[in-house]
Formats: sequence, C-alpha cells, structure tokens
Amino acid sequence: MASDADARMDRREFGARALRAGWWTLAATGAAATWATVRFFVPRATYEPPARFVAGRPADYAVGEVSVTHLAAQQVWIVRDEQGIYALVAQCTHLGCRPNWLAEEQRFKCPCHGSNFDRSGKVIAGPAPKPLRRAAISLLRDGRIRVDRSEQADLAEALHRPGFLLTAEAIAQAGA
Amino acid sequence: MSGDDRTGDAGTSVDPVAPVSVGRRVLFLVSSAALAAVTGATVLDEVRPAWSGHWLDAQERLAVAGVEDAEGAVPVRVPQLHVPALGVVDRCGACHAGTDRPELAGAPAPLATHPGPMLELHDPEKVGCTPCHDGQGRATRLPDAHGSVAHWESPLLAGRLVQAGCGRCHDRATVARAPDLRRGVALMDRLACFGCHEMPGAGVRGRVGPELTYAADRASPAWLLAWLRRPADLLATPRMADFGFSERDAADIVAYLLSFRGRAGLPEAGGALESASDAALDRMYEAGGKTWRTARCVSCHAIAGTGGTLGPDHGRIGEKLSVEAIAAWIADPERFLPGTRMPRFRLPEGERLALAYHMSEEMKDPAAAERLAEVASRADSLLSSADAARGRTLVHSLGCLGCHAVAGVPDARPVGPDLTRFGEKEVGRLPFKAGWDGPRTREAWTRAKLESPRSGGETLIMPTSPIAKQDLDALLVAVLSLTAPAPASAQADPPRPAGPAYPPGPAGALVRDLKCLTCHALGGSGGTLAPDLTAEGSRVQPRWLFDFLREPYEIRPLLVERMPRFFLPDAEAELLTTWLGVAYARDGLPEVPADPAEAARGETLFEDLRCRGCHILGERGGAVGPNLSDTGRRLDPRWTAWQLTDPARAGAVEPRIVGSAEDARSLAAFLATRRVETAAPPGGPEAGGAP
Amino acid sequence: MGFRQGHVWRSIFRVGLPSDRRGRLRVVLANFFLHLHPTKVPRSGIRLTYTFCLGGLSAFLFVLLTVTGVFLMFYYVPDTGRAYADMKDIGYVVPFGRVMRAAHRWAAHGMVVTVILHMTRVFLTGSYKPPREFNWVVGVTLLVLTLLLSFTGYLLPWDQLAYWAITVGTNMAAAAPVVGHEGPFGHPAGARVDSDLRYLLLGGTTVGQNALLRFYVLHCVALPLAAVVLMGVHFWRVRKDGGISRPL
Repeated sequence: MASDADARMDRREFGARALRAGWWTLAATGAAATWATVRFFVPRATYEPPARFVAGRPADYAVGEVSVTHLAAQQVWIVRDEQGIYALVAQCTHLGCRPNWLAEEQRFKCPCHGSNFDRSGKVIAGPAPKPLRRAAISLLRDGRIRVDRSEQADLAEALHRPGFLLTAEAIAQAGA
Repeated sequence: MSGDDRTGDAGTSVDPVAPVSVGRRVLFLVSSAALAAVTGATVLDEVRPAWSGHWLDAQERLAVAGVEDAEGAVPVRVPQLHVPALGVVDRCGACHAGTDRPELAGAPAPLATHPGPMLELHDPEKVGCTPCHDGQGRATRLPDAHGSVAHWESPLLAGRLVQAGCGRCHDRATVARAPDLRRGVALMDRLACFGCHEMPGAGVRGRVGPELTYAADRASPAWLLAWLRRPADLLATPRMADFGFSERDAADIVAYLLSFRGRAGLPEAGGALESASDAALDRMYEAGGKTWRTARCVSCHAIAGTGGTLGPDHGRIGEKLSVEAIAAWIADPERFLPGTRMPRFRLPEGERLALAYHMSEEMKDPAAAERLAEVASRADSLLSSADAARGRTLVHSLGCLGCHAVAGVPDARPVGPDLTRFGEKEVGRLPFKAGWDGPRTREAWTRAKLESPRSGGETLIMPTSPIAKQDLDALLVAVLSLTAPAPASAQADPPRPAGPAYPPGPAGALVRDLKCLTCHALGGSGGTLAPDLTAEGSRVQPRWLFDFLREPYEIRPLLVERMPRFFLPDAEAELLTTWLGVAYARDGLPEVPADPAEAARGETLFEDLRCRGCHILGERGGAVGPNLSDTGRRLDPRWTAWQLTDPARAGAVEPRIVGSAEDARSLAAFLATRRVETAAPPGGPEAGGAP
Repeated sequence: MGFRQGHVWRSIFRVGLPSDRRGRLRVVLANFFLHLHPTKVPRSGIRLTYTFCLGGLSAFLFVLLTVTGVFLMFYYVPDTGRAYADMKDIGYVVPFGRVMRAAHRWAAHGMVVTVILHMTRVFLTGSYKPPREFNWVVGVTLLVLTLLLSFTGYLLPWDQLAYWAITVGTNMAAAAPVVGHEGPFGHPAGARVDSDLRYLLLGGTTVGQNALLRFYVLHCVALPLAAVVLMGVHFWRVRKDGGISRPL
C-alpha cells in the first residue's frame, strides 16, 4: 500500500514538474516569437546603393571641381583641389538636410536653415555647429577611386587621419 | 472528462480550479515542446540562413589567403547585386561568395572564382548574374535559386548553354567567347531555319535553294524522285533536309515540277555533244578539267568532302544536272538562284560547255548509277499515276517555298512557328507530346524537337537533318539565345546590316556580279574570308591589281579558299582597278623614298626580326603570312610602312613586331625592291599557262 | 504587495482578485477584454464535442490574419511592377518573412474551413432557430466576407495564378443580371464592358494596376473593417439571444 502511495506521490510530483516545464517551454517560445517579430522589421535586403562604391578615376575630376555625379545616389560630393581629392558627405551638420552647391558663389548652401559651407566643408554662416563630414576615399589597385560612405570623419579628424584624402602625389603615382 | 469539468455552473458552488490529470499536464508539456521545436527551427533558419554556410566558408578561405576585408560573421544584409537599369536583383553572391575573388580560384564549386576574364569584361555591378546565366536571382535557397522549380520559366543555363545568354546583348554570329553559339547560328543559317520560321538569319527566304520552276529542266525525273525520297542517298552532306516523303509524295511533287518543263529554255539535251567525235569529247574533257582547276572552283566546292565549303559539294553533280544545265548555270547563276554566292564567270561558251562536260563525266558515283537507273525504270509508271495538284499542295504547305522560289508564286510566308523570341517562350505554350516524362523545360523540349522533329505528333511537318551530337548542343544554344534584344543600354555590339551593302554605279554592279563581298569586305560590309578591300587602292599597285584580277595566283600558301579566276575581260579588270584606286584609297600614308641604303638597312631588319618565320621571301620562309617575293610589284611601299607600324589598324592578324616608324620605312623600302623577274608570276604553272 | 494597493495599480485594476462567485462575476463584467464573454455559461453548451470551439477558432484565425497581414504590409507594395518581387523578397530575404506569409496563407485557408464547419455545427444543432435567426443571417454575411477576403487576397502575389484566377472570378461579375454587361437584362439596363460591375471592381476592363490597388484596399481595409463590425454584432447577438445554445 505504501508503495502505491509513493507511486501516486511520484506521479503527482511528475505532473507538477511537467506543468512547470510546459510553462517554461511556452515562455521561451513566446520570447523567441517576440524576438522574431521584432527581427521581422529589420530588413536583410534594401535597395539602397552599397555604401562602398567606385567613383571613376582621378582624371574624371578637374582641379577646382565640386562633382555632383554621385550626389543623388550616394549623397556625396567628390571635390578636387590642389591638395587632392576628397568626398564630402552631403548632409548639413545642423539638422541633416542636403545643402546645394552653388558654383557661382563657390559655397554650399543648406535650404532648410541657411547654413553656408565653403568647398572644404567649413561653416561660413548659419546655424550649423560643425563643418561637413567626409567619407573615406582610397585608390583601388587598378587606379579607380573607391569611396566608403560607411566610414566617416569630421573635418579635424579627416585632416590628420589617413584615408580621407587622395593626395595629389598618390594620384600622380597611380597615373604614372 | 465531464466529471472533472467543473466550471461555474449556476446553482452549485465548487472549487473553480479543478484538479488536472497528470496525463493532461504531460500533454501540455509535449505540445509546448513541439511548438518550441518549430519556433526554434524557424529561428535557427533565420540566424543561420541556408546560404550562410557557403558564405562563411568563403570568408574563412579568404582570411587564410590573407585578404584584409574578409568578414567573420553572417552579414546583416544578404549579399546582392542590384542593377536598376536592367531590373536585376541577384543574390547569387550569397552562396557563390568567391566569384569576384581571385584568391579563391581553386575553391570548390559554389565558392570558386568566376572562370575566364568574364567579370572584367562584364562589370557585375552593371550587369548582375541572371542576364547571362538565368535562374532566379532573388532566391536565396536551392533549388529555387537555380530556377529548377515548378513554374520558374528560365532555369539556370548550365554548362555550355550559358552561351545562349551571350546572344542577348552581343551579335550572335560573331561574339568572341561563345564558340558554340557562333557555330549554332552558322548551323541554323546552313539548315536555313529562317526559311520556315520567323527569326534572324543570314539568308533570304525562298532564295536558299535553286528555283523549282527550272528543276524539271535541269535534273531528270529519276534523280528528282530519288532526291526527294532521301537526299542523303545522293549526297553525303545534303543541305536539303529529309522530309520523309513517300514514293507517292515524291511522284506527285515531281509531277508538279514537270508542269514547269521548258521554262528554262535549255538547249535539247545532248544537242551540242551528239555530233561530237570521241576524240573531240576527250579533248573537251581535258580542257574542262583544266578550266575547273584554273578557275579554282574547289575553293568553294568540295569534291566528296575535300575542298571549300562556300558552295555545295559537287562530288556528284554529274548525276543531278545535264551538261546543258551545268553550262547554263555557269553562264548565269542568278537566273536559277537569285542572290546566290556563285560569281558569274566570264567563260566563253565553248569552255563553259567543256567544263560542264568534264563535271558531268567526272563528278558522279558509279555505284549510284544503278540505283538511279532502277528509279528511272519505274519513273514513268510512277509519274503516269501521279497527282500534280497534290504535289503542288505538298510543295506549298510543307515549307518547300521557304528555300525554293517558284515562278508566279508570291514570296513564301513561314510555315513554322515564329522563333524570334523562342528563348523566352513560356514553357506552358510548348507542345509537349502526350506521355512526356522528362523535365518540362524549354531546354528538354527543344532538344527532343531537334533530335526527332516529328515525334510529337502526326501533323508535325518539320523535316529532319542529320545533326551530330555536338552540333545539336550548338543548335540548342543558338535556339535558346533567341530572345528580345536587351535594353539599349546593355547592347554590346552595334546592330549588323542585314546583308552586304553594294556600292553604286557600274563598278558596284560588277562587284555584285562577281560576288566579291562573299569573301571580301568593302566599307565595313561583306565577308571576312579574304582581305578587306576598303583601302585596296592604297594597298596595292594598280598594274599588279589589274594583272591579278585577270590571272590571280597564290599569295597565302596555306589557304584552301583562293581567289577564283573569273576570266575577266580587260575592260572589266581595268574598271575595277581604276575604281578601287580612286574610291578605296587612304590618305596620310608615310612617304617611303627609294633609297638603297634604306633598303639595305631594311634587309638586315628583315632577317633580325625573323620575318621569314611567317613569310616566304624568295626560296625560303614560313607559310603563315603572304608570300613576299613579289612585294615590289604588289604592294605600295607607303602602305607597307604604315601597316608595319601598327598591323592591327590595317585589320591584319600580324603581331606588332616593328618598333618604330623608321624601321617600318626601311623594311618597306627593302620589300619594294623584291620582285619576281620572270615572265610568269609565282604561284604555280597553271596560272601562267592560261590562254 | 504595497504596489497592488497603490494608486497606479488600482487605477488600472479596479477590483482585486475575486474570492467568491460574485467577485468573479464582477471581474468579467468590468473588464473590457472579458466583457464579451458571458459571466455565466451552461456547462453542457461549452462541451468541446458540442461546439468544437469552431466559432472561437474562426475568430482566433481572424486575429492571426489581421496581425500577420499588417506585418506583411510593411514589405508589400501593390504595384504591378514590384508586387511579385516583393512577395519573393518576403519569402527569401525578409527575416521570418516566409513564416509570416505562410502563417497568413494557411490561416486564410483554415479560416474558410473553420467558418464553414462552424456553420455546419450551428445548422446541425439547430442553433439557427428563433430567437437566433438573425444571428444566422449575420453569420452567413460573415461567411461571404471571409470568402471575399480570400478572393481579394488571391490577386496580391501578382503571379499567373493570381492574375487568371481574378480574371475568371471578376468575369462572373460581368455575368451578373442587370449590372453585368454579359448578364441577363444587362444590355437593356445599360451595362457595357466599360460601365458594369466588373468595370467597377477592376477599375478597368482587364486586371491591371487599378485592379491590384482596389483589391489591396478591399483586402486590407474595407473587408476587414466590415468583418470586425459584423463580428461585434455576431458576438453581441450570441449573448442577447440567450447565450450559447444548449443541446436539446
């Protein structure tokens, strides 16, 4: 009889454990499903152009030019001056609108709140707190320019950190 | 269950939480676990997508190879090529992660580098993958991605079939890296598929074979009967396909053809030869044989498989055509086949007849004579009961008019389906035969159709041509490449003109009459077999050109196809020479003074640069390039100097060996001194011995 | 424990956990989410083998369809140029997109099945009889809405099956009496190929961009709204007509 009672106790205990385990499993499943639901909204594929892109050859840009070739698709200006070639991120440092390049005035003007920048990206007027940012730029082995929009630096950093200016010497070397 | 099932029913007051049996608790656990398992599998599939294994494998190999930007984790974004201009979204790179990585050249299947220089020629960022390879670019799982799933209409073009993709942007007949496509397109032209199908092709519908109006005048009823029954019985490689005609069909068609008898206006058979003595016939045979060789007929016509391929094999022409018919053809080929590639040779009537007699006697297979005689013995009885009206129906309905014209019948409309876009035809519209158990794909259907065109049903009329296995593959490639042209932005080659553009004027008419553009090009249009004549006026000297046109000789020792002798009268040779000299000359060639010192320097250079490796000069030399022994008479030294500086710009295959313009000038000056100082030009005794 | 007595907690949950029948009754009555449920149900009426919970399953599937459907709307654009590609992308690159679409699709099939079975059960148990006769009519309308939801959803993948199924389906509208140009009295009533019910449904004479957009709006907005309203009426009437019917 006692063994019968023990067996029943074990059965009961077993039932209680099964119930607990069942709830925990269900909770875990719920957590996974919640995570999956959130994850659903983080796309694995977009149709934005890739952040790293090839922007032609140095010869495509004249000294003194602010090129808008890659503005629409990539939101960068490729600028060439005596020092070399750099890529300015076309995003006003005030609230993120896209400034326009006005060649006659030789300055970028933001239509939202009137910030003005010179060709190097420095603030000339308006509420913008910082100069325009720059995107990483490098030369591929075959002599083409590669811009990486995912790697950005502000002006002070870009001026001393390598990889944000294609120097005139580097261009000359690649050309030779 | 009802015993334990105590919910708050009216009237009673019981413990609302009823005890639940152990069995149900276990059931709860098991079902929770099952749900968890399904959820877990789904989550796992998302965290480690099917492609991630290949991708990570590729990254690991890249890291081992020391590539800096190799990544260690599954990327947040699926690798994809997005080409908005072509509407392409290709995620092939998720598994094929090494296609643009030379470091993975030796890696196994999905990771390996794309073979050949294809990716350098076609920037993947601008082209994607599926425009060439087909398959389902958006898919990230097998077999969906390769398109080998139900209802995906363009599965991956596997193996050599990928060449079909080249034809979407490139000129199908000339695209460099698609040999099977080129061969298939050439084969389709040879089989004259365009005769019955609407499709691009180098040829004119109804102008592929000789006009049927004259068939009964030119060939005997017995030959026609035998030929219709089985062309392969009479010729090893007949161009005409086998329509599987029964004896009755053949007799009816021949009866229809006989209704045109007399249209050709040929002299009565044997008329000229009837009275000739045996000795005279022997002389004719000899003279005809000599003309056959002098005119270089073999450049275009093979005899039993040996010789050129521009024209039909003439090994058994004697069985087909009477002497008069051969002579009449040579006199004016356009009359029997408008647009033929055969030039009109300017032979006097006597020589023409001799040549025809020679061909008629020489070019036949004695073994076939018996069979033809057997058919001939039955021909009368077969034809007496034949129905010409039915023959006419057969000729008109089976697509005969796709290749042959018949006087008074308007140009044929294609009897077969339109193939212009066959390569993208919906699989559901292909008539798979009942009981088809193979894969239902465009490729499988087409292969079966090409292998046995009529196996799909009683009503099918497509004829059979003997096709070798590798030819079948090439044909398949060519057929599948028939798609709508790619968007203009993706077109790689400018569209080709449909046929050669003939120059105007009397000289142009002569060029047309002599079919010069079959082999030569003029002003960007024409054949590629022989030199481009666009700058011929500056290239060669007029005197030499005049002589060469009258009596051509061998310049390139290795070629089978040689310039035929047209037996041009002086006036015509003169006209062509003057015209080429005026209309097809090039300005801006360097002056080459006739300076002995310069020539001596050139001679040294000639030996130093090993020119003799390819060119014969005097006694010795290689046979790859033209014989230079008579350059002094042949070429304009200014041209020689210009071409040597950069052979490619003159369209020559010669490598660029000469370093400077000065060297080129010296060589030109030297070569200008080389002449063959004999009465007869080099190139064999025959040329000199012409009447 | 203090929190349970605090102001915030009590502002949300007016009554505490019930300890007696009356308390439990109040909880159900006072809770927005539970008030749909009767405070008392006859035990025999909710026996599993009596209802098989078919109505509840249909309602559950409707909720599931609403949730997954709204999720799918985040990635699907009803544009003839990209609808098919969007569907492919949901299957291949949207995280859990394949599960989401499969759930939506199978739930849709399942709902048609459960609604029909539910009506069969209602019919066999005689639960359509007075005083429940109006609720039967509401139920029939809900069945039609369920089928229309399935039908409009069918076009959205924009593949061959979708295209031709909708072509065939909307041609039935063209054969409707009076309002269809091919139907009886259609012609005398002035229905023409470009002015009949089918034209109205498709926004044109063939299945095209207008049809896709119309079906999308019907599928995602108009029909679900109508279904929600009618389901509210349906549930309300279940209670007003004397609760769940009982076995005889």
